[in-house]
Amino acid sequence: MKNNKDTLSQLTNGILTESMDIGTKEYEDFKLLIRSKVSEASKDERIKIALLGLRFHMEDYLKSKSKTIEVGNFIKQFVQLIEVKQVEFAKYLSIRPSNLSKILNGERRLTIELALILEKLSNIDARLWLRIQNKNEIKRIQKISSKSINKYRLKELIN
Amino acid sequence: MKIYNVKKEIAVNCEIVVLQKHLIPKKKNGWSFNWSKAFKEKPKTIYALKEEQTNNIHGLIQLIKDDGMLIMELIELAPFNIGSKKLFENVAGCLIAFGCRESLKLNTDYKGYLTFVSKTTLVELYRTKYYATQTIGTRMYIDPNSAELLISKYLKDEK
Repeated sequence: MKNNKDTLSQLTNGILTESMDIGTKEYEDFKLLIRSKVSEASKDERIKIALLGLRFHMEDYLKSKSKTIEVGNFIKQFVQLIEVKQVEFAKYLSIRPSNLSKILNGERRLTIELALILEKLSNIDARLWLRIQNKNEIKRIQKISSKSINKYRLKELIN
Repeated sequence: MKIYNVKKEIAVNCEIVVLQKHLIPKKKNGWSFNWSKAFKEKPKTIYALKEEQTNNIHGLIQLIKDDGMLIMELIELAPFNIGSKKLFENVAGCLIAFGCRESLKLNTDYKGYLTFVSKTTLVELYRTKYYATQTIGTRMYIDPNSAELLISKYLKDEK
């Protein structure tokens, strides 16, 4: 740790990297090496990495103003990433495939119980799944009911 | 995410945002790299670590993709964050962890791998502090397991 601190305190400027030599033979060898590292990963490791990526996409979506992505779409991605068929997934959850399909397509709400099951399976917080559903619903209802909602005034109520 | 004011011994809230024109740091203020030029050439590849309250820029990172592989092409700390009199800790860690997080969002053969070329004097620092692996020359990578560690250490948000 002391050496790290010494290295940093000796910096004369703040640049910490050199430019990558894209296109050289050494660079191509480097890429090959990375690909071989990737291919060494077991199925479990591959899925763990994929689920981490899914979590970050979900977190970013929650903060973004981009167009609506239904929570069912993220569940679909989860099922694909764990390399399980939807029918098998429904069977594992003891629900009808048609009901699962309705959740995936946004025709049926994601329940708190299912969100907790998803958390157990994916390591993605149940609150994150539910917050995505809430974000989308708030957006939808704000759009269709803005007139009836905007008529409410605290001043009117308390005076 | 937080960085730490070394003198005042307090944590400061920060966020990482896509660099916008009005935030570009200038050479006349002690920055070494010509970020205006890089911004003109590839604007959406540069991200800034920005203090939430003051908008002060503490560091910048440029992430480029080549053939599906994420490269940390450039990282620079603000001039007041280097040397023995630096004001804030954790700036590099937050930027590198952000790069790792972006690499985990890739849907390519290189998912989860952040690659870069280290300055010769910093190889050991990257290896010990940021769990990077040195390969051909000073080309390095951070693998998905190390990425996860860095993300949970540097990018943790309070719920």
